[in-house]
Amino acid sequence: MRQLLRLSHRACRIIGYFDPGGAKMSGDFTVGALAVLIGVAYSVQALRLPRAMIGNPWAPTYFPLGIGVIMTILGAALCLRNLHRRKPAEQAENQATQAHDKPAVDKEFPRLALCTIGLCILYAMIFSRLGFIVSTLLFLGAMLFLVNGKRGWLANILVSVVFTFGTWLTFERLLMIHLP
Amino acid sequence: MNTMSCRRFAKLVVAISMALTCCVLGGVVSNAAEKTYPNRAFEFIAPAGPGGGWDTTIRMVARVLGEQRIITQPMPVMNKPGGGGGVALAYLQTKKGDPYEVAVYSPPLLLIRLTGQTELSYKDVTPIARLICDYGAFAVPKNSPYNTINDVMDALKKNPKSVKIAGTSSPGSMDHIQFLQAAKVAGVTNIRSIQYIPFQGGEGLAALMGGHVDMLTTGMAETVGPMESGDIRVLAITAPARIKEGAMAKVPTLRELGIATDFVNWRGLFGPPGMPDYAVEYLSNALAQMVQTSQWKEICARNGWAEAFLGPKEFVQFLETTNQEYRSLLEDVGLLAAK
Amino acid sequence: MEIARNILYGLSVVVQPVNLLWLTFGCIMGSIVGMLPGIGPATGIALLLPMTFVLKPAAALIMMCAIYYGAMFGGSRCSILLNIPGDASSVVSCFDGYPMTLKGQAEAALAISALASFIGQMAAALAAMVAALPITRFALRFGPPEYFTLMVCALAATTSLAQDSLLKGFISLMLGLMITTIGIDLQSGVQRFVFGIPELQMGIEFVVVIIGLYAVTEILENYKTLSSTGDTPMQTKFGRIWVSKEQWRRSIGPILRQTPIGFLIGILPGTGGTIATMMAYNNEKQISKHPEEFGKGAIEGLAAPEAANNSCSIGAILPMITLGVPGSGTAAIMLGALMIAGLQPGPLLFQHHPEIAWGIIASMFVGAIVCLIVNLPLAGLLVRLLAIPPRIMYPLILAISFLGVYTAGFSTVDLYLLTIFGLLGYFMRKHEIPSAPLILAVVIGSPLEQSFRQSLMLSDGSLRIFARSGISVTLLALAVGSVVFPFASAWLRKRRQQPTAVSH
Repeated sequence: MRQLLRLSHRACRIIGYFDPGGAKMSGDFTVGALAVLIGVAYSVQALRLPRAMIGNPWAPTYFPLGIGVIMTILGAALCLRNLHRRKPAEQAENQATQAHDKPAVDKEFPRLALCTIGLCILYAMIFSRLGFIVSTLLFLGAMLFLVNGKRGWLANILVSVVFTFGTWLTFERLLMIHLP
Repeated sequence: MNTMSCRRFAKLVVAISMALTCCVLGGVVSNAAEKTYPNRAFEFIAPAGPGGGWDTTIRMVARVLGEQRIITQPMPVMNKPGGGGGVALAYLQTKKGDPYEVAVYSPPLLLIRLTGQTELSYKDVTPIARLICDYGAFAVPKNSPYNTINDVMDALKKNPKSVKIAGTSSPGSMDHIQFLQAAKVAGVTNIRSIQYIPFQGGEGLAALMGGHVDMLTTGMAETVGPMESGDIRVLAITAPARIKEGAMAKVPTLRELGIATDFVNWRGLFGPPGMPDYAVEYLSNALAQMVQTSQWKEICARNGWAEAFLGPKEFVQFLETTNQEYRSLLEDVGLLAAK
Repeated sequence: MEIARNILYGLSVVVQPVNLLWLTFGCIMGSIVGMLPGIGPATGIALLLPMTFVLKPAAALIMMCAIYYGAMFGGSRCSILLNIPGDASSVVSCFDGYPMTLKGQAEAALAISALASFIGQMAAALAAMVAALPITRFALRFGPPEYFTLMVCALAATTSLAQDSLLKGFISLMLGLMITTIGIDLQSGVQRFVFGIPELQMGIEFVVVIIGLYAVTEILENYKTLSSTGDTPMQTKFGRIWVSKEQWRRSIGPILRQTPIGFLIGILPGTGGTIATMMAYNNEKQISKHPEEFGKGAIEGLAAPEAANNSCSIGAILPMITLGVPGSGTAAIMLGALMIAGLQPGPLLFQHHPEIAWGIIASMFVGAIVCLIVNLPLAGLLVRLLAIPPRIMYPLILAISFLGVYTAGFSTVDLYLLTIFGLLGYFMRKHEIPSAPLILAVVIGSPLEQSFRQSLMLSDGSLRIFARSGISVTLLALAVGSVVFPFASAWLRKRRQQPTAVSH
């Protein structure tokens, strides 16, 4: 057991040599673990790919399989790198720089980000069903009310109308690109 | 108004609206649509991005129809690329019976079904008219040991892996099939083992000129320039008869060299499934009129397209026989997916 | 002497009023389609194709070429001002262009981008005049194995730039390659990772990835500080679109160094602006005395790729004229236009239709000047976009991104993907995973695999084909070198500085 631990320590140091910054953040273990997960899932999918009907039947599989395996190894290495890294001083220093680097995050942020993503997905859903003009008016209007607030309602409406019809005219009339 | 008259009024409204609905369903309105067709803008679909063969063809058609005032409604061209045309094919399924949707297709319409890229076939669209034909060409580098296409076939008969053949599209597509067809007719037995290396666009031609591959199978037009400058030699073309004018007049057809086959890259227009007969008739008449104009003839000459107009009925028959040919060929190669 | 005569002849063709008019029109149109994200020069030219029928062939071709390099001039506008990369070759302009805008140097960024494009194009046009044919002949020596090693080299160099964490850099690279395996495999026709979605058969449009990773991510990131920064516009006072002496002094070296590299990469059929711009950026960062400034608004980091991008676009047109081989999608459309005009491109074009062959080449020269004149005032107008307060700007950027993505592929599936890649970009930034390797991998992943398998088919499965020529061996050595070099030098430095630290 102890030998194993020493072995992993050593591996860790070797990797660290090539990857000085790979253990800067606390989330890096998660990144490594995710990479392993993606790598394995992708490799399994790669093995299940249909065989080529002409030429070497495995030809379409090799490249994805290679990527999947390398991804898994890279992820594992990143995990390993983060297992033994924590010297307290280093950690404290890292956290200090991190705190210094990043300004405080708004309280509004999660709501804003989630709403934006929701609106984006909605926009994608209605884009071809309602057509460019209606969907863009709705999306841009909603986005503006979300980000710019109700105070600027006049500006919001003006901007969405001008943008929507402006781009529609540019594409449809000037460039002859047909929008739905 | 008292409640009585209110109720009566409501009944009246219901009755009128029901009568109207019946009229609509009974075809009064559809008759009207037939009479006034076309009374709004068409939607022309190029199943690929701007600039390719499909896109060029349908834009030319829209242009000539418009400029000759054969069709006066606007015909904006919409690009629906993806899936070798499969995406546009799926899109047409959502427009069942719409008389204003027109798309352009060519052999891939049949091939993508046969090789299993899509479940949809030429039966899921309404053929309107075949317009033009183009042919394939087989070319070798200038210092190639092969002097005729028969030399290539002989080498393949000895060892099917000895000739590295490049094409500009994926296996099971036109470039590939046109060569396999020739090889099969020429008597190469093991056509499954023929090494076909797909390239993208101009890279195939560059690889041929650099001597990295032994032969290129591609469209006729692409080979004219490098052939005239002497960088490549075109061994044969897949046309049924020799081209009469221009540089290609020097190149023999497969038939002349004893390989009794030809391969036609046809292009035609299609409507969505269940397109009404009046629309098919109207459009095919318009197209028949269009192919007679000097503007269209000039465009064909410039592009090296052979005029090959077929009306809807003949076009359907043509598609059926062509589909059978492709099917048996793909079966021989082992690329047939659809049963 | 003959060269001088040809050049003068070409110039005399270009300065004919009709041709000059269409050249200017092409430059303006190109700058506009280049600016709109998603619409590249290929679409622009295809859309104007019907117009070319009424023109004389020389004028038509000159106009189409002008659209092409005009788009290269215009392409970086959105990258610099809004962090929306309009096409694959203007991604690199985001790296340092947008940080420059954030620092209040938008005018200088726009100016240097136009100036670098101008110089890059002039130099490339000059090279084209002197030696178009021999250079393109040399390019034919690149077969599949040489392409493969070139792309490996580009990927290695880009990934090694993530010196902070090589592991994360390579993870990003692999993720990019995974994205490119989605769709129909061009070598066998097999569908891979399509999951029954027909829109995915042709793979994921890289514009979706880059716009998602840059524009959408940037907006999400900016939301964090919206309450303090949302109401004040980035800039309200605007200066002249020009650079200071100091900025010019720093940029001229990178411009002159990276122009030839862009040109050479451009000439190779099939490789594109992305490799050229990435390589240019990498090279400058590697040799820079202060590489830590790269990515934070170093003007060299913008000048180098801009110059390489335009010289690359000139290079990409050449094989089409001299050999009849279209080096890019855009060149393929131009080739089509040439043929519709009844002309056959190739070496014979110079004999049969010298007015067209030399006219095109000379027009690149004149076009550079026209583009510069068009673009500087245009930039002066565009920079005023920054006066829009962020609270209104962010929704607009999103709307533009969606529009760009849609017009790039005409598919609504791409709109969902845009959102997904925006989230991916956010995650990557949060965990400090570099995005450059992913971007490059997405752009060249598919040709990378193709050329690998084409090579193996040519060699009947032997890997020795990758060492068959001096070109590929050199490129492989460069690839290994670019990964090892930063470590070797860091290790040596460390060793020299603190000899005791290594002992235990």
